[in-house]
Amino acid sequence: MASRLTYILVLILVAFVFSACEKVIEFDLSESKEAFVIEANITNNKLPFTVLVSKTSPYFGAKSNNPVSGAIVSVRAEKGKAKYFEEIQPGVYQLRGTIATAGYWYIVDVEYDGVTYSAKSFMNQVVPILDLSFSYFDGFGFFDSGYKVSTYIRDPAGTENYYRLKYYVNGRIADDRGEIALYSDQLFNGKDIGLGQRSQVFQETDTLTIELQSIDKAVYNYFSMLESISGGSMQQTASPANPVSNFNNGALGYFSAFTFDRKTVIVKDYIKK
Amino acid sequence: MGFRLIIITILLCACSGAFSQKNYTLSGTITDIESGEDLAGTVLSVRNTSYNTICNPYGFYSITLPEGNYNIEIQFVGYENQLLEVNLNSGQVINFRMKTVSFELDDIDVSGRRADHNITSLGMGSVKINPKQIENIPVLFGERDLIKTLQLMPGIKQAGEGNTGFYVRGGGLDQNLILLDEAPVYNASHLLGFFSVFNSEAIRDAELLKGSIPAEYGGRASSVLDIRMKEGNLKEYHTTGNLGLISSNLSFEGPIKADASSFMVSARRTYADLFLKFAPNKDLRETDLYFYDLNMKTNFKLNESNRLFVSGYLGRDKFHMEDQFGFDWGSKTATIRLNHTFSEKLFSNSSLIFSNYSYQIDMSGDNDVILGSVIQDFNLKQDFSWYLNAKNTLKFGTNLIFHKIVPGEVEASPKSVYKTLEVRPRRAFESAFYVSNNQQISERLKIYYGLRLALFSNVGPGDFYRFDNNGNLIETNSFDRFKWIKTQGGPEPRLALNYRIGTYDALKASYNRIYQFIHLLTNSTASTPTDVWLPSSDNVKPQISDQWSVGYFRNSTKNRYESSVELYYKNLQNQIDYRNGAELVFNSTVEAELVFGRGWAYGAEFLFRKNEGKLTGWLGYTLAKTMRQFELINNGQAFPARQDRRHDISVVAMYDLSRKLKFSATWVYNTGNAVTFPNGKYVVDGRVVGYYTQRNGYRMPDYHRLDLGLTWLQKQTTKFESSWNFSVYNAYGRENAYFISFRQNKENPEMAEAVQVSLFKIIPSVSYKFKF
Repeated sequence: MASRLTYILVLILVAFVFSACEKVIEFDLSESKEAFVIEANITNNKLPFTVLVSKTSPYFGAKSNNPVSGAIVSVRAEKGKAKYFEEIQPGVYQLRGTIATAGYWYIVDVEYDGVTYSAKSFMNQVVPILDLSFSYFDGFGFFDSGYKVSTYIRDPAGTENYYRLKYYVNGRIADDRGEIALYSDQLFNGKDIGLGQRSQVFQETDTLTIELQSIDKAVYNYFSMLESISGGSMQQTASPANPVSNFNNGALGYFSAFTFDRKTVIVKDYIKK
Repeated sequence: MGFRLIIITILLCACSGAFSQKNYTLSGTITDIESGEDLAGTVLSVRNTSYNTICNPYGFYSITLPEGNYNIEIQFVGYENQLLEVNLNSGQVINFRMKTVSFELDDIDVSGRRADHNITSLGMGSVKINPKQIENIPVLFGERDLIKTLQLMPGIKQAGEGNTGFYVRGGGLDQNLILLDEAPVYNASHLLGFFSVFNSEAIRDAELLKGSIPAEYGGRASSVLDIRMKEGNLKEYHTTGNLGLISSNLSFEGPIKADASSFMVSARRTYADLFLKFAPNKDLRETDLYFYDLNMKTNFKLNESNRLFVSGYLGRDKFHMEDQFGFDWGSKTATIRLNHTFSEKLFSNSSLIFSNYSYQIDMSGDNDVILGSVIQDFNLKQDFSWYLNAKNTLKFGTNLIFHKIVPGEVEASPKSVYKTLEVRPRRAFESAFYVSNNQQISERLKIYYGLRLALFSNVGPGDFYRFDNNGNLIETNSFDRFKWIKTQGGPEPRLALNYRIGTYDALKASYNRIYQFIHLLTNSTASTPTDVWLPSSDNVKPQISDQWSVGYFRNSTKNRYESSVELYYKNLQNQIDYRNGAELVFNSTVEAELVFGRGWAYGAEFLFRKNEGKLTGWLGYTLAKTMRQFELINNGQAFPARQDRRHDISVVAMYDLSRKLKFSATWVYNTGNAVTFPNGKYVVDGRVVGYYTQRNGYRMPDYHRLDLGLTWLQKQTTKFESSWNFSVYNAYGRENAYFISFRQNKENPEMAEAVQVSLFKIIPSVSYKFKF
């Protein structure tokens, strides 16, 4: 938390006190050996389970995504039987009609070229969104003005909980600043709390969907590392590194078995005039 | 034990020459005739002999010579030389009063400090500056800063654009012991490092030791920056003020009782935030963003043999947005010092020192929470200087420090939804004992040998942890009050020699070992207020540095030009880095996030300097390499440290256009820092992410910059003096990369692009100074 505050301070300083100037430059980056990337998500909902399999590509290459076809993807509960995914598009593997139950460990296996990459994730219980409240923010420097939302929850007592909030405006994910809204209950274990947000703001007419994901610790750590190396942060970490993956055998990416609750509102309905 | 044996050997060795002749001691103090202030570092030499001595930091000197007639010469920067004939047939106390060189004397040949000091002294790899010398050097925003001037010397590298953090000979940012009147300063920067906490109006002098480090110093692996505050004029009252674009300062000094006691007070504040009051936006109007410094010093001559000094520093940065959010940080130090002269040969300095750095983040607006962290020291220091005879000067003493570190606490008010949380404080006791001798072996050879025993003990109460190889917590042990937990440390040999080849050249060599017990945890490229210091413990071994250096020093005839070449090799053990994604703040088991490795650095430093005439200045060049190696980073392969810069050049020139106009220019060039950039990309969570395979495998673009300055002495009478200073930072507008980041192209998100951010492009500034 404190490091984020320093980050805000740096932003403000650079914006007001100094005249920073930005320009696009040519820079040569050498190419490395390709690495395997897996992004696997399963939930307790009716949504299909999705696993994306790809490889890294040259940094200044024409395409960001380099999908991998022909992998064998399966999921199982720790002591359960494996269910196999179907490749619906190159690199996109889906499993429909399966619902995972909270309170268990799940394992995803991706087999490709004779190597099996495995990851384990724990599915926490659903934590429901109890209420929302909006407050108006005047804007500050290059932080936009608009409404900020607090998402109220009751944190389960006695267990470590980790959350991620995702905001969708009019059906599209809102994350222009590259921020990932993550929360650990270290400071509010067992309490009622409003989870606030950082620089994202909403306008009165927006239809806003808030998704509260209850994630496990490894996934929480993964996303906080991911945020620190992406999102064009002003305060760069001195030595960026790949986020630690819960997959083995050197694969990048993550496997998250999460539960979630969603609430969709029109912002103006919630504003007290 | 070995330690005791060495002390005895030193004593025997030093005494061996002492009884052969009838000797007498000449001692006393050396002060400024106008202000009565001490002139530490003054060189007193005996003409036509190789005997000389240097005034200690408290203005005291002592030299013992065989009975006879001598010509004693006293020399100090900016002062007229004095020559005195002494018939030494009994012990004598002579107090010298030195007269400043006046402006009118400019074209006469006036040497600075003893002109050949760089050749005769044992010290190697040391840089001494006083604020007068740096007055004309152009700097960013016209804020004179002694650290930024030091960064223009070979081997001392700036941490980043406009930054006051520095790397010395491949060492880390936390490996510099920064002392303000003997008190360690844990965070020497304001406003994220763009300004140092040292208000140059309050500073008497500063010395940076990067090579040979005497045994009285210890605790940081790479260098010592010893800064002394002004003591205050003992005869007259003076007010000095500086009005600048960013900040202003005001100093006041004078006698409390003429010739017996004096005081000095200096205050500085920035006022960028005052302009925010005119901002259209309400939030901006109600925002505070400033820092201030307050320096204070007073001293009393209790009687002929006792002098008491009390000094203090208080500085804080404040950043407040309405009453919603506040963030402030800063240091406090206090020193009480007693100088006692036991005899004309034995001098003692006792100090009681306090130092504190803290930050606080106040979010009482919405959340009713206050976050903070503190590091605090109590320090007792006892030093003796024993001027045994003309050939030997012994120093011995002890230093006991009690550290308390609160890595982080969250204080929630009862109505807050948050909980109060404290990362348990760490307490430790650091102790050191040292003895050294400075010995003239022959006409040509001088040696220095010393030993410091440095120890560090963790003390209860506190929690100590055991981790497995992956950093998982296995066991927590809680210890009670006053319980001694673990002691680490060892002996630190310090050696130096000076071999005088001819009148104008000398060969020097030195070796040091230094233990460092507290470590700065930072994962950012610049100094930030939330940096955490971590003490050594059962999981964190002390850093150990060994440095070997040799140097050749040569002056032109009459010492008009100085030149030197120094070579160094430094080996660093138990260096600290972090696991990926390490959380360094508010983490009680932060030790689990650390990985340990080694480092080494070597290089050659060239300096050519001209100290007199209309044109003065220097040219420095450093060729260096700095490496680190960690088992768990970069697949165990060695990699260049961030501060590894192959070439580093600085040129500083000051030219007196007339008696009233002084022109100055500096130009710097260095190879870019080593940085980590991606070698590939992939998509995860809907975003394009860099793929990293090599630590510090890339280089930032080369850095270079020209600064220009002009000082106009507007008025100068005995009563009033005023001057204007104009400067331009980055005069040819080079866009130096502050950082380079990579992002998706806005038009074509499939493509990536590199973006360079530069900070300062042609920054003019003006400041006005007055004194009466």
